[in-house]
Amino acid sequence: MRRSHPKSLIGLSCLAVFGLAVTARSDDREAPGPRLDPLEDFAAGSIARVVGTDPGAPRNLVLWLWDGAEFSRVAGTRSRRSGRFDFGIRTLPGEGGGFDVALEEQPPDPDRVVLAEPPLIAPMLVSGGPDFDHPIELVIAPAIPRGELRVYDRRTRRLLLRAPVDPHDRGRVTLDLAEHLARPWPETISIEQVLEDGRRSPGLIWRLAP
Amino acid sequence: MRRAIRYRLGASIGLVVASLLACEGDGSDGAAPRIDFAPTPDCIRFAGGFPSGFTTLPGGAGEAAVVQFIPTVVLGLSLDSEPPRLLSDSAIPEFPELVCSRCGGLLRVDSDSDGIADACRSDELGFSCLSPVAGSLFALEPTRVALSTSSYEQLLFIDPRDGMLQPVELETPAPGASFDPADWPFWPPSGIPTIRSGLSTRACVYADGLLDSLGDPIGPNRFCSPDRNGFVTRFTAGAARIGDHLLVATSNLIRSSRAQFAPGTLLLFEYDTGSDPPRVRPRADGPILLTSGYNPTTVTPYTTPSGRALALIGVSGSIALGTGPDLVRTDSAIDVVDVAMGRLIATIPLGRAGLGFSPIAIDSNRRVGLIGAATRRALFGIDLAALDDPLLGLGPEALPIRLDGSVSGYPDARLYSGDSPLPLPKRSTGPPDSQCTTQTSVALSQIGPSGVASDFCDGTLSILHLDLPADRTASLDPGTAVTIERLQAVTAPLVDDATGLVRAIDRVVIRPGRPGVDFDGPDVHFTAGLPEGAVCGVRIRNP
Repeated sequence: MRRSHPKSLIGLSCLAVFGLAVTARSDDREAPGPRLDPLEDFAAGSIARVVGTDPGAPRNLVLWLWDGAEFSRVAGTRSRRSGRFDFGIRTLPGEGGGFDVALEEQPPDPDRVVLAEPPLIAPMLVSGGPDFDHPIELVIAPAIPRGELRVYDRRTRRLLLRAPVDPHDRGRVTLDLAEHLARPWPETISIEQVLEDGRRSPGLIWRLAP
Repeated sequence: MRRAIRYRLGASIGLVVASLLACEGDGSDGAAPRIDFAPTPDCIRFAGGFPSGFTTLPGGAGEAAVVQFIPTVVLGLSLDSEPPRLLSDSAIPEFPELVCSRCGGLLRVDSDSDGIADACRSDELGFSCLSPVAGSLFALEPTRVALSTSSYEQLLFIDPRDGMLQPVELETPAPGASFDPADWPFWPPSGIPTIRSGLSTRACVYADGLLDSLGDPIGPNRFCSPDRNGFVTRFTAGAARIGDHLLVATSNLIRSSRAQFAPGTLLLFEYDTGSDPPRVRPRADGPILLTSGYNPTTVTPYTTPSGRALALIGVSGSIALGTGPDLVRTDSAIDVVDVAMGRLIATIPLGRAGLGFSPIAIDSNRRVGLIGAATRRALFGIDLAALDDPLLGLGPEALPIRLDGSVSGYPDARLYSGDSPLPLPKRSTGPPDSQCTTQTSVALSQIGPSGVASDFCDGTLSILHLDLPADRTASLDPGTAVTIERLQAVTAPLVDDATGLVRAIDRVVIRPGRPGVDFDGPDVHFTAGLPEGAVCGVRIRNP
């Protein structure tokens, strides 16, 4: 007599459980859907723990990634009896993207997407030349390689200079202060990134006068 | 926000996987299983654009580390997953921040862990309110990488598994004939070992008769001795650990738009891993070497067949920012440093090449070294057999010895130079050169005669085949030594209608090990800079 292969038994058990899961689906649909918590725990603007609450727990859930145009499946898990679920640490999608959680047999819903909105942070000074405290040319790296940089007199908030961010230049922007800034120069300038949607970064504060 | 929803291919396997989930999970409050599905493309994306550094980690575990440029963190990655996944299962911290009243009263990072915001420290010492800007990354050990930063010039030590800063003990040598602590303003006083998470690469360099890359003479510098001609290092670039040394190149950029550079320098540090934490000190018998040309950007370890530890320094030449021809203003070279001697023994002139900013790729037989280009669709290369002579640089000849066939008795090490590069194929749908000046990087397999080269603008990988003679004394034929096997498009090209797509590829690495034997999945990984930073995997030799 042939012995049943353990994997076969496991498979049959799984099918049985799967059958129960199918039977229970009508109940799943009646329970309120799972919900993601806001993506608050950004680590360095790119990473968050994706967790949430499922009133109909326990059941199988799928995490969907929304990239601003379409969904793709990211991961699956099963909510705990406590009602909580945890998809672990995830890198956040790009701007306009987010996550949705859905029951395994249901589609994701764009209206339900929890958007990943990491803050737009201040640009960085890559180099200032030819001298540290007498800069006439600043090379700036914005946080996101698009939009434009605006240079303000930090004290008066007068706009002094605008420069587009060109991705072909590896996201670097060279600000030629000597050529584009009228004398006398302000004591301190604030260099800010502004995106097409109006979002504005904090300023990179740079002292022009020694 | 209602839009048409499209589901990507592969989603149909989800139900099968989900049924297994139904079997495995019991809904208890124990750890629920998670199954990650493979999205397309196989990229892990993170904040900011243009990752500045990417390296595999030693130890054979299929791990790598990448620099997220803004906000700056180092992310450890497992390459076993498709896409690569984070090694850390907890939040990866940014550098600590402290308020700095003398720099606008804002929070500024304290990356070197000296208890003072970097910008404040920099301003106190007369260098203005400079904070670190991430540069290249290189692996020291499986649990320790070094990140070069510019503006606040230093090497930072980081554990790639969790992104945490790692301590080193800094030890400043006593004053001597070749070392003056005053020339290293960010280092602790001599005789007071100090724990930090970074070592400063800001130093005074002295020599008479120096010219910057525009031909202007270099006089005394106000940060250094007023009685001596010289300059202060800036723009920390590539680095490498070679035995018990750390070697760091500083490109000494003065002004980008004019491609103005002070002479290039290489800093030599002793790195003692026998203590915990490792102890680092500038080499007291000569901590700074001048390179043969401007703008050294990479340091590559190389051991000759006789066991001599060398450092190959990629001297890129002065390169202007921007798009278009004639961005390369001075000649390139690969300098050869004997690490034990602490001397520049040879240089391999490569003409107006414009060497790329990724380290030199060395083939598995250590015969050929290839390096990418900063402003053209090509590779450059050298014949490493020219360095086989164990007496190279030990004779009475003036150093460095030029290995371009111009010095009697010494070989010509040039294989692909600025005048005769190895051209890479262009993608027909790529942007014209007038719109996008490309850059390339290259990686060579350590198990066979193959390699890959990336093209920034086109989003392609050129698959390389190497045909090298077994006899190291046999000369190399540039026409057959390295050939292009095929071109593979891996991302969108850098064209206007590709907005939102992964593109702008840069650093490329070949995963160590035998594809299909030692690992499954992608065997080549590369970074992408748009629409945000990413590391992507692709199968080249592992179908």
